[in-house]
Amino acid sequence: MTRDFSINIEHVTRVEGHGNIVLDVKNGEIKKIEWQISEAPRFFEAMLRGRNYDELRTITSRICGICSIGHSLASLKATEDALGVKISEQTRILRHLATNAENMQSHILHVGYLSIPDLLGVDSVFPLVGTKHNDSLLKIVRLHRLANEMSDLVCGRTIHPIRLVVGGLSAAPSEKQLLDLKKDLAEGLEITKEVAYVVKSVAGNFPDFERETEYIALTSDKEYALYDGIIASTDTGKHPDYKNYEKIMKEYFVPHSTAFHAKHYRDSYMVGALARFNLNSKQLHPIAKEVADMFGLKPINYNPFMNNIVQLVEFVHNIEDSLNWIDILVDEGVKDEKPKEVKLKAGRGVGIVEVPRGILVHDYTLNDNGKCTKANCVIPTNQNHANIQKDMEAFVPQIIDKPEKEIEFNLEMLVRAYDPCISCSTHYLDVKFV
Amino acid sequence: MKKIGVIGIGNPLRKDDGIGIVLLEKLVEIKDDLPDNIEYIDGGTGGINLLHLFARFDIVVFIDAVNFGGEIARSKFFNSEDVISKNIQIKISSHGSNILKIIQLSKKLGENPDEIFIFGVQPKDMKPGTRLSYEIQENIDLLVNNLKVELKNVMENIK
Repeated sequence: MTRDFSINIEHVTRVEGHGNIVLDVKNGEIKKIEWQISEAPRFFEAMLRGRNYDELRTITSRICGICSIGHSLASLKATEDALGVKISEQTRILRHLATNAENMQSHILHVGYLSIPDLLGVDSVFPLVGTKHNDSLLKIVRLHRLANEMSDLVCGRTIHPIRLVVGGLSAAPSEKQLLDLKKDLAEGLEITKEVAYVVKSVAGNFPDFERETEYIALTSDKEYALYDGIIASTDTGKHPDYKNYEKIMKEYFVPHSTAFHAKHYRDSYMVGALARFNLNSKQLHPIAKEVADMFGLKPINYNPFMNNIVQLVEFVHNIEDSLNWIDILVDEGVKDEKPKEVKLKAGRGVGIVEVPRGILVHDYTLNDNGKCTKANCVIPTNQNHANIQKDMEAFVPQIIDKPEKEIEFNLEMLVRAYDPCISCSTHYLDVKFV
Repeated sequence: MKKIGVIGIGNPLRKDDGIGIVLLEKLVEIKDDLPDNIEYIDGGTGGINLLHLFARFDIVVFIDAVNFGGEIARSKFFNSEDVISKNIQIKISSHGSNILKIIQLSKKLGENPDEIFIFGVQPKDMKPGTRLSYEIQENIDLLVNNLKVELKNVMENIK
């Protein structure tokens, strides 16, 4: 069928920030297809210059209202790397708990509130209230609350943590609080299994689309890497030289976007839950593995829509992982530790963590007085923009004969599968004066 | 004893929109004069997280900049039930999701507090900026007093 039509979605809803989809078809041929990022840049890296080492975390936490814990941890790791600060085992465990809490917060928000409406054919989560889905919705709200309360307990605040500081934590939860959390998490695990069955019953509504691409995430011999690990790619294997991350994450600029794009071995790569699964699925905890099996997930999975499902799998993993860490903390007794003392010295430090949307890098250079002289942050959503574009280019020919509304819906659903955090990603603007 | 939550809402970086947070902080300063079953919460710019913030209370009082068509810096105490059922046209919260929508969601989910009130202050200017407008700044003490009276009335009625 040859026809002319154009789709112009300004802006895609149920994602963080503002992005547009432009599709122009003439005589059944695609003339233009673009994933455009139109938000104003935010200049966080410039704001860090001249700031003291102990302010960098507080400032960069504000890059994102969803991944504020992840930005805090990447920031602390970079600062501690530059200053040669070694954290205690208790701090390491509590930071693992913080990572799990944030992953849970973000994933349940995305799967439960932003993605499920696509599967049920409604515009948002609100029309589902009071319908036959009310019970499932209530379960999702409970899981979101659990993740919020866990962040609150470990980090001192639901978003924009206050307890995470250079060298440690300013306060730790008590054993009683940890045991209460353990009880809530155990209940949460059961609720999540029930939610997984509900998602399974409608997951067939995700398009059956695959495109081979490269996946990049942290990997570790010890665990399913989130807080710690080395950079790895499904194409090129492990890259232990973390300070040269720029050789892997090659950022570049395109005219239709205020956000950087990135590539490595191919034209584009993907980061996030699906990338982590594709590299590290063997290290998932047992029940998370069961949930992955329930959806028939196997690495390497090339369907970007499955990112939604892996987020649910990771939610289960995060609960199981947290239960293990709580047992260790309680067995050994929570110690009243002070953050490690800091001796100022000039140097460069790089901190890399996995946040809900993928691999995140903070890179700081400090001078003798502990002031930041240079900063670079590589944001997961930046790294996904090119892959979204390439996916669209491959996906549209497969659905081009469908009605326009359906094409529009499918493209929006594709963008949402990446769970993009657009405001985080717009930190660059190439201003040319002529 | 009933659990009461007083939740300040607003963005202090948008001038008068920050009044909810300013009044909350003033209340915390004088909390010894108020009953001790009240918990004071900075709800920030709200959003869906409000749903979790107020589910654990029996009674909730939101403090926020509300455009109810009144004189600048005047306050008004609304029962959320009245606002919803009588479809009173007010504009609450400049940031994203509307409190009323969240209240309705909480109700339909069956986990809403028994009563939800809104202490609204008529703003003048909600453009970016960190200072309250002059009229509101001048009336802070009066507003704190009005709020205190309303809170005491709420407490009287549940006795």
